[in-house]
Amino acid sequence: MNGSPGRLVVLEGIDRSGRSTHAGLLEAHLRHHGRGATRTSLGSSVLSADALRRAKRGRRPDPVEIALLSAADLAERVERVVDPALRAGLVVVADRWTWTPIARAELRGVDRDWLDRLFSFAPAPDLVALLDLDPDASLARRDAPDPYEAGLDLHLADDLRESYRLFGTRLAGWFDAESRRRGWLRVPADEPVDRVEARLEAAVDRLTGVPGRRRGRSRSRAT
Amino acid sequence: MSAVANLLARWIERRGRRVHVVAWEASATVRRAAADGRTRQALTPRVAALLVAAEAHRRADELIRRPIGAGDVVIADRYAWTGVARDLARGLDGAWIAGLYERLPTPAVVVLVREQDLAIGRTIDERLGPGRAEAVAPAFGAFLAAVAAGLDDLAAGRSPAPWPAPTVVLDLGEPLDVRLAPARAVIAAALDAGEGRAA
Repeated sequence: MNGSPGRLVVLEGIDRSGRSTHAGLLEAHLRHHGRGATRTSLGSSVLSADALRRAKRGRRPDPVEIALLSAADLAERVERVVDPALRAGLVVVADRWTWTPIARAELRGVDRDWLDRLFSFAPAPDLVALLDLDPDASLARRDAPDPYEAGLDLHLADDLRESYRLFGTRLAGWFDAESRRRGWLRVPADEPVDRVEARLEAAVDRLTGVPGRRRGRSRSRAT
Repeated sequence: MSAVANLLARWIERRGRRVHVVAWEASATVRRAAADGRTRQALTPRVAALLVAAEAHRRADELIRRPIGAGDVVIADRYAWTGVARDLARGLDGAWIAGLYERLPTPAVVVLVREQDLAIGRTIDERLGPGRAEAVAPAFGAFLAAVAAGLDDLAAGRSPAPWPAPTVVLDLGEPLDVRLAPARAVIAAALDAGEGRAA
């Protein structure tokens, strides 16, 4: 529990696992049932987002600098969006929290203890759901991966897509271990959108006391 | 460049070492955000601290690690302690702030130059200009005094520092040559031991 009347729900997972889609669907679901909700996502701050993008696209991206900028990005959103919303009793749906930047930095050799201390200002989520997706499936959903997200700076492979697949495998392994250690909700992200949506909504409904969704809706959107 | 950094640089050069003096720069992102009314509200102490630390890390690779790697000596004309002391003055947690800078290169020696009240008064006049200085001098003066107190706390070990480093405190009351003697002794020992850093 984060200590406020509101609830903080976090969606984590590798790229193209459907996090932003489901964050939007969860927000709409909560509002539909009369529960105030808001959304926040990694790299959407006013002050740090551009610097973060520039740092990732630099000739030699520095994982410590990127971790600090990611923390600045989160700190701004915590202070301007998340904390006020939680104090007002809203449900905050976060498309990634501390774990994505921590994973990306730790996999580049940055000390985990230092990263945990860096992000220690962030409120603890009430629910973390990992959208579980195979790196090959993630790659199939992408056109041109971002070089930093593909781990190209780690020289795992010369080819961008192969580097993305190899780095994605490491990232998926990191999330797998973290989710087991912390007891996160794991949702297979390769299932149809409405099935993933139903599992997430059920977990959030239990947390927030929102009545369960109407059953019998049949949708078969692809993720 | 400050007088102390300049004197130490010339002294080290006379010992046959190449010296780079690196100034502690304010974060360009923070400066821009503070100047714009639309973004100023987002610039909380924590966000500013993280942005300043991120820029310090970006500059450290080019301006500090590379010359040290080439065997040169770097004098940082203010370094992480300045960032820590400013953030302490803004009310952030000391251990958390120190952590922001602990990945920067560790100095071989930290020389703390203590400013007197007169010097703080001059800084206020120079930074703000006579008109503004009158209006905000009490607040700015209190902030500078808090920064000075934070630096003293770091030197005395009362606040967590990013890394353990030998520290020499210089009080600006005696002639420069007299005041620099203890700093030179510690730096000479560090250079003889093969260290290339000084702050």
